[in-house]
Amino acid sequence: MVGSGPNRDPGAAGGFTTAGFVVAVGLSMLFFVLLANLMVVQYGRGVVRVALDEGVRHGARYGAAGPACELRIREVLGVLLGGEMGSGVSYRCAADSHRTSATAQVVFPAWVPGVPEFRFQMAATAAAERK
Amino acid sequence: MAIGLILIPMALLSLSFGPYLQRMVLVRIAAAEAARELVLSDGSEPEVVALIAEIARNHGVQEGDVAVGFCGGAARPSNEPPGSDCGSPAKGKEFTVTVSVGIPALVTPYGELGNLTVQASHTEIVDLYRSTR
Repeated sequence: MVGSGPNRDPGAAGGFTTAGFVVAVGLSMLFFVLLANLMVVQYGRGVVRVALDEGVRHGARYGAAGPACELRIREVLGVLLGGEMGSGVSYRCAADSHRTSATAQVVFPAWVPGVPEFRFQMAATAAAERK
Repeated sequence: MAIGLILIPMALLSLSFGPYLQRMVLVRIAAAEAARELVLSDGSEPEVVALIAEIARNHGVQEGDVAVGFCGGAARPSNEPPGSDCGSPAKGKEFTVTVSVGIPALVTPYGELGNLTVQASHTEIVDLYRSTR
């Protein structure tokens, strides 16, 4: 018999675990993984934001066109967001005489089965240098 | 129960931290770009307000939630017409733009609670060697 007090059998207590405890610990681990995933996605959002801002500032110089903006975005993403997460970012730049703008479509994978991918769109705008 | 008491506040803090950082970034970028635009457009405040509204939309913020102040003047919502606080541009003159936006104090799955305000200023100098209209 498993129990407490002076009549308790010490050998029977070894490895005593309820199914409920296993389920609770498992769900807690999944929740922690989901939280870690959310933090990494926040980091990814920050990197895409920085890349777009760097890109539009680069493309806003007088005489610089869309390719300079896209080149800078690619450089920033390559340094700060390589691997599978970086491959989920697609972007493009556009410019007119007063503004340079960039937009990105982002898809980050979810780490927990059953949770949908993180999909969002970001944009940045900068004032272009004028003659 | 005990796990929930730890995990739920952690989740709420995690949800609130992202929007807080995003709004901080928004006001800094908006102030810097607005000051640049003010110098480049020879002091055209409506063009600056239009740029700030576009940057706010880029960050998912309603343009009416962003307030803009020029050269120490009173801050006005960016969907209202600006005043003329900076005056005409002159070589070497400093233009300062202040941008402020509200931040939800706590973000929950059921909505936002409380409101804080974050503000950033940026000053640009009109180039000494540029041509002005």
